[in-house]
Amino acid sequence: MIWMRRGLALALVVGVWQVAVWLEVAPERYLPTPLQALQALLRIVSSRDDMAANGLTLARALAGFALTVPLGIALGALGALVPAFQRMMRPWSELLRPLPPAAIIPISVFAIGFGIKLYLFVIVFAAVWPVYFNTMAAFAGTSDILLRTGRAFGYSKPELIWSVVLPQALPQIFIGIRIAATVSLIGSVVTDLFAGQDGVGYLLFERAFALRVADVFALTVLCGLNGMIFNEMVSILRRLTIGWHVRMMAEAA
Amino acid sequence: MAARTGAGLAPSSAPLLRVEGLRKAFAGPPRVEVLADVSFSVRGGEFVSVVGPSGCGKTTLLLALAGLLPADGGAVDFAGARVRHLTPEGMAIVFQDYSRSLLPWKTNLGNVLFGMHRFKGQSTAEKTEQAMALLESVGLAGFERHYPWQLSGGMQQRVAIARGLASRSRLLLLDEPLASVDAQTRADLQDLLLGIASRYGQTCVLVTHDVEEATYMGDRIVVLSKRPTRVAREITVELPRPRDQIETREQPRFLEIRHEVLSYIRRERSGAGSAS
Repeated sequence: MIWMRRGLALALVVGVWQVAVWLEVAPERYLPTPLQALQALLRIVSSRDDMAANGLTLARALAGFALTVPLGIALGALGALVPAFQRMMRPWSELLRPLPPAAIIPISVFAIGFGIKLYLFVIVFAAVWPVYFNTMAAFAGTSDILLRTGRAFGYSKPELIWSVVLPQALPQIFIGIRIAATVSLIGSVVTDLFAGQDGVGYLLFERAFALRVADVFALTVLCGLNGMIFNEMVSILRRLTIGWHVRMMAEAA
Repeated sequence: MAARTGAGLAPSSAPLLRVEGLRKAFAGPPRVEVLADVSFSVRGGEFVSVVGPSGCGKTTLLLALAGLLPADGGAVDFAGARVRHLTPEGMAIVFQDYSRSLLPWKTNLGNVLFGMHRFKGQSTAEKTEQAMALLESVGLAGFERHYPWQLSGGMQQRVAIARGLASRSRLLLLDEPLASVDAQTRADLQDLLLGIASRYGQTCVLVTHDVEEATYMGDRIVVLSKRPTRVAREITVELPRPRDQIETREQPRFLEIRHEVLSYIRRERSGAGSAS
């Protein structure tokens, strides 16, 4: 059923695209047919070099994401537990949070140069905020009754944080983690585009300048597919860590 | 009553719990004086019910007894030691709001094990075995691996009761534990609690707004006044045990106590002026 709906949605997009081609909305050389784009995609997917480039982008995004999540949770926990830290962070987080990843690349290059460090910096910088804010809110929102229950059974403050506050916060933290996964991927592709020498973003840049329009369309679709992979990864992570919540929500529905 | 000897308790001459002149106000504005002067005591093995008009600070009192809310004055002594900002070992609480006091990420077994936190010397296998036995004793055999949110309200409260018992506490504080379940379940759980109390010689303090429940369950009833709260009177419930949902509730003494407490509470409520 869900696959039928997805198929239908896809067919609709492809249909509109094909009609746009027939109506010559854009000159033919700038607007490939869906079939041409699909052929380009198949060529890219079967090219070892192109897939290696895509793999690099994915790997860097994954590395950045893997750094972002624990860091964001740690900072969020600190913010919730130490009000002074939250006050210190507030002006910075307000100032830095709305910056798009692309906007911080130039400063980052000056600060730390190129290479994997640049990727990690850009990704963590852009993706840490949703995890930070959701963790902070989820920690602060721990119900009194849960805390009292823990205290009544002899849990010390650190034990309470570990056994009560953190587990009850995880469902909300995952809202931030899901956003962070997408932002990590965006950060990785954007760094390819602006300051990279490889990766799928760099390919996109290269093919665009060579006016290989079908390839550009195909690579864009590939970026979308990467996003789906990341989303699926978060879903698996979520089922593994808070399977209880997934089931609770499913049974409540 | 003599049959209800507490397991391993000191002779019941010295009270297990002694509350002396307890005071508590919530800083306003407006400042609300909740507990004006509350004193009573509970002996080992006793089942004491605490009732009072709504809003008289029953839950505040209970939290203060457990060291979960600092009092402004007076003292709570438990097993000979002053209760300060920590729930003393040997005291456990079952809250009214079971759906929020059970941990939704833990199975029912996990929730009961959560209550055994203080037994650090014991192996997990031993604790698990005891927790399973407790779940069975509250009628939840077969539901160990379920989550609390998969159970009905009455069953969830049974998990909370099992968890309270799991801490092997000398004193079980019950904060309106049956207020949010249906009447049938309520009667079942009342009998379950009484059965457990007599089987383990468990000392209990039950806070409730339900006068009949207080009478049915208790050896003694502590009746609170309206805010600012004092102990208005203490009534000994000389009804034979084991109690019976039908027989006990028809006894003249039951009806007499019910009448006395209910009319006191009605007087208090109708005479209720402003809160201050």
